[in-house]
Amino acid sequence: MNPLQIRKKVVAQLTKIKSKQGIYTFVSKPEDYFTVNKAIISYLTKNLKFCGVYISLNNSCKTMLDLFDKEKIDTKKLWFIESADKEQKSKIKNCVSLHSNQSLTELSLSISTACKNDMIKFVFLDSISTLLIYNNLETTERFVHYMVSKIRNLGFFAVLISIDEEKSNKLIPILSQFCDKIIKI
Amino acid sequence: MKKILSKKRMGTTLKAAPRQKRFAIKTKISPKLKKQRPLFQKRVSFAKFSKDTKKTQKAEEFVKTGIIGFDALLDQGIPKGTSVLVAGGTGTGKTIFCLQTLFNAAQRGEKCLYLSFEESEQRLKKHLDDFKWDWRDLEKKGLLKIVRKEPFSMTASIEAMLAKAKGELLIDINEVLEIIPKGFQPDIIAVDSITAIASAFGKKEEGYRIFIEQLFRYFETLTITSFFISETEQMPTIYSSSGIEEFLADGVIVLYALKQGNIRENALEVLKLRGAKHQKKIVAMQITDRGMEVYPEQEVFGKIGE
Repeated sequence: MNPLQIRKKVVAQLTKIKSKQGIYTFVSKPEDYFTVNKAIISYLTKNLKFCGVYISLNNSCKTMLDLFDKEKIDTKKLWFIESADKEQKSKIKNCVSLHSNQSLTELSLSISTACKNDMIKFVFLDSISTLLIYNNLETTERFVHYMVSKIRNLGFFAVLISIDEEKSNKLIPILSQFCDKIIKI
Repeated sequence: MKKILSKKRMGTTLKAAPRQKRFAIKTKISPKLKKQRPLFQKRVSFAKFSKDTKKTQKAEEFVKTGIIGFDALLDQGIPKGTSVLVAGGTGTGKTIFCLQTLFNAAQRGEKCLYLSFEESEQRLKKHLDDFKWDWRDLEKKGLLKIVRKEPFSMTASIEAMLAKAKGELLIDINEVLEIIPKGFQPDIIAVDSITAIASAFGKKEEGYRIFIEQLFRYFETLTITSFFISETEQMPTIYSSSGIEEFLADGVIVLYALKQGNIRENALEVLKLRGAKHQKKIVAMQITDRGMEVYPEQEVFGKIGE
């Protein structure tokens, strides 16, 4: 599939979702990962006009901002939580830096704080696969379950990104228990 | 029997009376009631007043730490005059917890004494400055006092006292040790730390035990709310050096630095608190630029029990 086809597939899947609440896991191939992310964020911010929290565990906030700027995504609608830029703490206004990808309590607290903003309508977790690199399956499962329950109680729309690979796929059956839908791209 | 009869009588009169008559009776009474109203109201407001006083009295019987999120773990607060062990490993925030509690209490007008057997007064004041807690005014007003004590010289005095009393410390320990500065009557005391005192005693454990028991009782007699800092392992199974302090203390607050991969996450727990209801769970805690913050609803993901 070329990027355009991927984009179309993502939008088609998102359009099918009628509710503006709920938890959805998108499983993408490693090579399509960026295209999928951009397509989802673009849909949520442009089509649904949502503001949201973008949790970037793979790339720095700056990298993601540049990427979204190129896509003409209004980055003012996004509040970033990053953990990738360890050397220098982010000086970007709408960005919070975590100490580590293993600071799950800190991550959870940062999400809770960001969600207190009335403008926030969605949470985007990029990605579960990265969480699994730094944390064991049991801890990641506990964390995702805790966050999903919290987001559901708040009535937000949440997207969890997972890469289609062996380790992450172990989590998919568990995720399917508490997610509204698993969407494979 | 009389009661039943009167009830029956009342019932019959009411039943026998026609609707209008009943209404008339009511209206007849109402002007009387109107006259009595101010008096009645006064009584109600007095009752309300006494109830409110009781409430404030009750609130006054508890100490609030003022630490964001922490007091929510407790039903009303820490009962006044009780002793609380603040236990935890290195870097878990025991000193900050006590400094913050004392600073907040001093701001509310309570007299607080921080007794340090480890860090100097200057360093502790610097900690307060780091969090932008203005202690100077409170010190001037005599509400907050930080005193550094030398544990070894104190131990020598205690040993001498023990030798004199043949193993029993029955004299006023403050007279000899001047734990509380003369002329200062604190409401809250923090002792930082009992571990330093214990290590100054060295192998003379018996002497330490007698002293520490007397110290707990001494503060209790003076109705001082006391916090005793105890240095433990990161995941403690006993919360003090001798193991008896947690039995002597009315409350035990445990601070953790839980391992999560190659990082540590702070957490806190109210293990016991006699005379007060409290939540029984390990909750997340962070040390921020503003001091300690507790998150009663936040689950911790670090490993408990490692």
